[in-house]
Amino acid sequence: MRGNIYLYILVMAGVTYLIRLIPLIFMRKEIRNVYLKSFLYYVPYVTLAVMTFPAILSATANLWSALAGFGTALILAYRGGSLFKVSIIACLAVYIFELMVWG
Amino acid sequence: MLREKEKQKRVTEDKGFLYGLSQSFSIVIGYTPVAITFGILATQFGLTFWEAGLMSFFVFAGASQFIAIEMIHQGATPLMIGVTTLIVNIRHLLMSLSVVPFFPERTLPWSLGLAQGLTDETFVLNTNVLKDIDREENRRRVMLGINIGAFTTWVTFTIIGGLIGKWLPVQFSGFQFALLALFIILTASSLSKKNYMTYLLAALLAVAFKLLIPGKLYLIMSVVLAAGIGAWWRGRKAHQPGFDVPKSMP
Repeated sequence: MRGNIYLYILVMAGVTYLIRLIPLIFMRKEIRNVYLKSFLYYVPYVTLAVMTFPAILSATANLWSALAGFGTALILAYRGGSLFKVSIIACLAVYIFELMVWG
Repeated sequence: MLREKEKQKRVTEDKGFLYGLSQSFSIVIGYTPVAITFGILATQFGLTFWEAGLMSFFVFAGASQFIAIEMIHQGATPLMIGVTTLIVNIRHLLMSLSVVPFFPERTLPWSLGLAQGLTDETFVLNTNVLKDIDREENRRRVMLGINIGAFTTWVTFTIIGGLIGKWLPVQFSGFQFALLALFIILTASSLSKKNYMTYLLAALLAVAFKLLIPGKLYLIMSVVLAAGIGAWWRGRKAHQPGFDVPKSMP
């Protein structure tokens, strides 16, 4: 049995929106602290790593094919492949790798 | 030759809402299957397609939505949902802080609008795109375009997924892959000699924390720790001669 779904949505929306809004509202002065500046500079890259990393290792049948897929995708993406091309070839790489190594 | 340069300059100056919208295309491809999956799962957990769409509209934070529908189904209280949402989404506080330097002269309506569109994906794409745009006014419009592209996709395909889930009893898995491909493309376009060590450190920390700590707490922990260590390391190097701050730093 579930309660009022609109109440849940309201709570979630309020919490999420405030988290996103507070810095934009209250950070009025320019950030001068060099340490904080470096910290914020790294946040996007670190976020990328964290969103990619535990997830990708369990996305395929095993760790090694996941790394093979990741490597393939990274190289293709680095060389300027489109999202479609990168996805398809990375999937193929995983498939072939699993086929070759584990039959 | 000169005219060519002027033309080039005008093109970069004119980047606005539509440019942002076109940039959001990679997120559109990444979000579509995930949003459809969310819609299907939400209806399987007892929400209507309409309620799923409302949740996507007002919350717009993928991971917390997936967790919430499961918890609601299991009878969690609104307080539990609120605390979980806070833990899962607190990382957006750092992201919001990181985009602040791009908009020193923002007004309240802009803050209110841009805040709603901030997700992991739009944040990374925005920081990637915005650093090449000179005028703040254009940066705001570009970010609005990127956010609206992502937001519309998320909401629309949640509803479509909800409708599919209502009429077709399908079981869905493997939805994560499209998002992973998106992350890898963003990684390839933003990693450099200046930041790849922090990236690797964050990846290792995330894997380790995920193994050690249940739940989603590992996200914020590895972000804070890796960025903190990166900043500390750079601070040490900054005291040595010959160190220069990267250009892309806002």
